[in-house]
Amino acid sequence: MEYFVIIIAAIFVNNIVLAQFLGICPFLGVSNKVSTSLGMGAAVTFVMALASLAAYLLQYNVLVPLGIEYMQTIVFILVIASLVQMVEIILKKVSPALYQALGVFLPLITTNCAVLGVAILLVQKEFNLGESVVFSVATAIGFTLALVLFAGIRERLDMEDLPKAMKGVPIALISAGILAMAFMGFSGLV
Amino acid sequence: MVLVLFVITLIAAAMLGVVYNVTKEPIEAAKTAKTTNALAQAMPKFDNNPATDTVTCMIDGMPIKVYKGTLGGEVSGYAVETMTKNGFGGEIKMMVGFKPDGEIVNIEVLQHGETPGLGSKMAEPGNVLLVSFQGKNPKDLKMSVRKDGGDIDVITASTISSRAYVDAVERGYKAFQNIALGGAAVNEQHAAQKEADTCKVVVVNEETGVYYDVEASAQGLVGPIRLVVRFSEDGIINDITVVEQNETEGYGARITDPNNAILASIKGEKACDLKWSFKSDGGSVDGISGATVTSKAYMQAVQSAYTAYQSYILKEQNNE
Amino acid sequence: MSKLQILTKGIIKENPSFVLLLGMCPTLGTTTSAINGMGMGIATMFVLVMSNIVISLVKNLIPGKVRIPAYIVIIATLVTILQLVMEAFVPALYATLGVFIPLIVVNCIILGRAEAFASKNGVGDSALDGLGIGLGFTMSLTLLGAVREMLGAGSVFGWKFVDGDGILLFVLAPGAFIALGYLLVIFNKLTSKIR
Repeated sequence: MEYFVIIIAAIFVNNIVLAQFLGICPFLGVSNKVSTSLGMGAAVTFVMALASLAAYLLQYNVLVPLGIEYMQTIVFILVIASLVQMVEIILKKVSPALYQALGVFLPLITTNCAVLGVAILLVQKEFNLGESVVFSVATAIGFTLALVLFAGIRERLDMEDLPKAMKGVPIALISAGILAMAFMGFSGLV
Repeated sequence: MVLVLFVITLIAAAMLGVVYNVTKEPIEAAKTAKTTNALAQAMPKFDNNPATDTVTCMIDGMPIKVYKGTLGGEVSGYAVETMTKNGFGGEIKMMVGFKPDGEIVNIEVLQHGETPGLGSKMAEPGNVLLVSFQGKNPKDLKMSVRKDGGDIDVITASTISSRAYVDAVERGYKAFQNIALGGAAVNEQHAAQKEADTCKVVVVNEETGVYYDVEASAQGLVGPIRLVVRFSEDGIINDITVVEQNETEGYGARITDPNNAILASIKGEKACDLKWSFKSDGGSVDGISGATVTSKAYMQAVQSAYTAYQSYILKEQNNE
Repeated sequence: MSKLQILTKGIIKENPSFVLLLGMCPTLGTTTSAINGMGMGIATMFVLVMSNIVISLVKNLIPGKVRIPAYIVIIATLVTILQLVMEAFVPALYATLGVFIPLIVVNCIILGRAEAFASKNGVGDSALDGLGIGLGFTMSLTLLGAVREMLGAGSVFGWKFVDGDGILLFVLAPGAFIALGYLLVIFNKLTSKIR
């Protein structure tokens, strides 16, 4: 039950992009096509799950016992950066096909604030290990959902005749606002 | 190359250590200031430091903290740091101030995630929820919103937030009743707390659920009385077994009887809802007639066991 | 480029939020009111100026290959210092800005300026560059915050000029996207006229 609430909350109610404003850069940058946004979503899900696992273990096995919780930011970002590097190297060796699909997105993820954000949030929310992993995967699914939906909208927007000043990012932002409004309908669900 | 990176990290860590030590005290001070501020806002006038005179009570699995304020040695009021999980945006924490007779002085919302402009109004001074409570005694109020037939006005378009607010205040009042009106003064609770530190808590997993067996003791009429109280997960007293006693046969020794009056009055009850004194003194516990001292000791031991159970649950929650 | 140009280019020509479209997360997430936007802007400016200074000081000591990790460590350190100082002295603002303070680390503006400017220029110029970009960022955040507060709550910097609630939508999440979208339209229109 608890897990179910976490999943619904992370995907719909507190959607990381549309309600929490994390990961906006890839949201605006990589959402031109549905196929690329699916790839980005998959890569983020993969890294986010690993990163939260690593962040959780580090927080409660290293930082808290040593009493250096204030080193959190610096430790987490280093872990995420090295994790992304590692995933890239391993993926290249083990599964060239998957690397082909996700490879281009991986370097972008280091500076994706959603990944660091989730790591910090799961500590703030005092989740246990299971909840942390569920939370991070659900968040990533929410991210992918927002990205794919938005890409679908943008694919159509491209064909519209718009005033010059509105083309590109401005109209994208306004559509994102309307999408966020739709997601607000989920609030109060849990 | 690696060396340079290592040196940079080392310098960074050293600098952070220094800054951390410099800012440690101001951060602590800022945190205490927040609590003190809320206490000063919510409670009747006091001249002690209520933050040092607290008891924590578990209600519905949530830790509720009661602060006691005194003025010139007399109890001037209580503040209860209460919470609810039913908010629109998750947990809401608030400080509710009571006069010794239970009248609500003020309510300070400490933390909430409600919608800005709607539910968030609950944190503003003079909002309708606060006005519905302020200066009233909860025992004269129907503790639910008007929509549900109660006496509390709701914030327009924020029924869920308003219901959650009422829920938190109600829980705070329960804790207040338990501590302040329940006969057990805070000092006695402190004694129980100390006693509780020596209690052993054993977690028992049975088919019907998880139980907590707490062993506690108190000085009876003849020697110590030792008993094991079994709590279920939500703080209900499931059963009590007397392990050791030397009380008078036919009187005090009746505490070993599985159907004795004391046990019958508290068995199956939520420990936090109980008032820890005899029914003749306005509490919720029956005594064994002709064995007051024994009954009192028995009650004290159960109370210690309950405190130990609470702190065990608290610790368990913090570890999670 | 003259000193003045370095300082002022961040405000209009290379405005991080409106032209470069960097650091969008804090831009949208923290601008529920003018004062919050300004607080976030100043916090970011502090890290930007400091990281530019530190990185331009040590740029010759860091081998090219470990450049990026080294920068990240430096920036993360500065952010943590900022975090501790804010928690100690402005706890209310720290609580409002929440998770966005540690997330300054991954704000692309900071690493971007370190890589594009501070690693190639002297200390003085780098500080000016950080200050300029930081000012531009602060200004746009304050502006967006002010617009959202004005429309959403009928007040600016907490000073109420309309009785009542305002259009609540603008304080909520969708309003952030919509307000920024329209501000960008206006900004594009104005700058295209000037050019």
